[in-house]
Amino acid sequence: MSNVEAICGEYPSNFEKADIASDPNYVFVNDPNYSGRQLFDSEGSSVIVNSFVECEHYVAGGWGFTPIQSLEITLHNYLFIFVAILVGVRFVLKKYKVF
Amino acid sequence: MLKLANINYKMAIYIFILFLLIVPWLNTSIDFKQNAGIASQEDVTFYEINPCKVSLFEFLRSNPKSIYQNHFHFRFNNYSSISCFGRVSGLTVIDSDFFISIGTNTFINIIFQGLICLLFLKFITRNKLSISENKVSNLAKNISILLTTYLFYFSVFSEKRFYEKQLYYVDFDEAFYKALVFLLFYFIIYNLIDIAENRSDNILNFLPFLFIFHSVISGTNITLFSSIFIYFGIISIIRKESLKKFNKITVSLSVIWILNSTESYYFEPGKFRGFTSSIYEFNSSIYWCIYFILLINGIWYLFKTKSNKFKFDKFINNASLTSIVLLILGYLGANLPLINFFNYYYFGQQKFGISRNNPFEFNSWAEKISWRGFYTSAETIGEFYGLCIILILYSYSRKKTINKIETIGFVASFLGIYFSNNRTSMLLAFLFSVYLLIEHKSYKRNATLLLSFFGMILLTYLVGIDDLTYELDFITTRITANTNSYSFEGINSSFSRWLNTNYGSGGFLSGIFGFFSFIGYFLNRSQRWGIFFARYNPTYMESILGSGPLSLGQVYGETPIAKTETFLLPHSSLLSFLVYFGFLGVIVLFLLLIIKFLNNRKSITTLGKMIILFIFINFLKNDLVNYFAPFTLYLVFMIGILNYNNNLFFKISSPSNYKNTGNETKENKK
Repeated sequence: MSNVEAICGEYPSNFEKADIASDPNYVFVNDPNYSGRQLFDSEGSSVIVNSFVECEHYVAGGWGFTPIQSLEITLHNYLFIFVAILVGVRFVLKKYKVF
Repeated sequence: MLKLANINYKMAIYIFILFLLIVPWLNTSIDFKQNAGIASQEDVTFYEINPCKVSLFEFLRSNPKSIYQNHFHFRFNNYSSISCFGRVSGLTVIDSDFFISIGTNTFINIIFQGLICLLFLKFITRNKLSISENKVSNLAKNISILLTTYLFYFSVFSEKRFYEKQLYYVDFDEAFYKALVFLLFYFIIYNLIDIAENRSDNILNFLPFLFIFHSVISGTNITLFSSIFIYFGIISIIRKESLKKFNKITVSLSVIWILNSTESYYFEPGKFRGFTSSIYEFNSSIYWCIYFILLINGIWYLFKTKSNKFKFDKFINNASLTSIVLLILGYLGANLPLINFFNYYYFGQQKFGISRNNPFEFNSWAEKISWRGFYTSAETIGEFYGLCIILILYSYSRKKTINKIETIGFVASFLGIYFSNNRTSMLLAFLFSVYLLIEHKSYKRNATLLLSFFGMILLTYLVGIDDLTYELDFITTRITANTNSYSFEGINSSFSRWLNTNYGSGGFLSGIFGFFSFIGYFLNRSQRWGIFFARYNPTYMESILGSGPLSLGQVYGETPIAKTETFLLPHSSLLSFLVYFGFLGVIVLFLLLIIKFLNNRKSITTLGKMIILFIFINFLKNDLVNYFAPFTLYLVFMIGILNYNNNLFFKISSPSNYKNTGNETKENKK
């Protein structure tokens, strides 16, 4: 299952991808049969989408994060920095023969 | 030079230990104000609607009974968020048993369990010589550490299917995660090797502790302590002191094994985790071939360079201590669910310790039920206890005295071997120990005859009188009968087809297989070996050269068989070797061992012969080569016995009335 389907649901049978990027005046039309979804980007900002077309557009554009996923990515970044510091400190301690 | 003179080093270590033991399980959600719910059979909704909110500590505070009541089971959940580490990620009730899932993120496991391994290693006595006298240049060391790290890093990406279920929200193709995995391993391996190198003189003496400190990181297929041998393997190659012939042959074979692994078969490592391939495919074959070659080189090199530091009495003392600790930890873990969980985590177990708390239990047919305690396999730990008994009594027969640790170790081993219900080890330990005790007595000849007679009676009893009454035809066809009964919807493996066509034809190979079936029958292996052959589906080339070391994926994934009661492993290292190295590999290995034995026969002592026989019998009937600890320990013994003067290798210091058990002492060969 793709990320779009996992977040937005299955593709509608009559789905046609609109060329939204080349139309600056494009307005998303609400789909009354579509239950709205809240989407997040990697920094935790959120947006509500009200149609599959809108949802697909946002997810494809990088709004496919969940808060848990965003938090996890942040923690991975912290972990990387933490371990990098540990390795650096270990090198310094070794160089100056502290232990 | 900068010195932290005012820091109490020992105090700092103890604080660090305390930190490692306690802190992970205190991690709680700060903005969650409710107390942990009380788990009851009627209501576990609190944990269903609040996953990853309360820490393990809070759970224990609300449910203190879970610490000691046997129907609570703490289980790890490696596929959980970093923020969920040490928290209750779920709770479920099955019948009357509570299963509490504790979040243990794999990345954090690498750090925590890695640091715990570093601490364990710190307890090994430091070398008396400085590193510079051990002649490993800084450049060689750094290159070796980098290569070791790269190998472990590569293993993660070569066994992606296994790690996909273990690493939470990780994109395996993203450079960031590749860097993170490398950095994590580098930090741990760099420190591990730094500590190990300063203690390399004593590593061999401490090998029995591998049975306690498994060092398999939760959520990975990696035995961390094996990195030490991998490192020494690389050093041996850099210093041109490696096993050159072995390397030439295995590297050539590796090319064939790797090129041959074009298909993909997954194997759930289970209790072999850390020392077996989780998938049979191209990249994974590359990793396990390199790993195996470097491991053998590393063990050989370490033995070659440090055998003069090997102290057999110290080794026996450590083996005694290990058997005591194993029994205590096993008993505590079986009775206290929380200790069982901590044992798993802190010692890096491959499998949770047993939860059945009565080691004396019998089934309704009055048969002893095996109790493995702390260790992964009852049979393997039974062998270890058996070996401990032999070694302790050997030490006693030479020194005519026994210290406290050996005494308690003997009692622990005696209990342990009984609990494990490994009857072969019991018999061997009994016969060998008695022989070692009477070896120098004047009545040795008569006593040996009596012992042989008594041994035969005991063997008959263990095999079962009824089993000896069947016809030879029946006994020698048990494996083939089992092989055919497990064929699935008419699908037969290539080996079972060969058996059906050729077995019983009276030819040489047929005769050998008949003898093998005969042995298997009395070792109670007919069913398991039969199931193995129902699966064993080699091509002509694979039957000759095998599929590559430590790779069971192909044999377990290629041919479907009828449903078995449980997941049954081959229960024979010989059969594992057949998969790894093929018939040619097994034959060459045995020929090599026989040649080595004959070349060194004059310096092989009685104890040496006993250990070879002990290993050989257990090699035939147990999966010991698929566990890191026995593999390493027995390999060291085989190298020592077959290549070195046994009187020096098995030397017991401070002896009284000591007599050599072998022939004339020779110079140490290497």
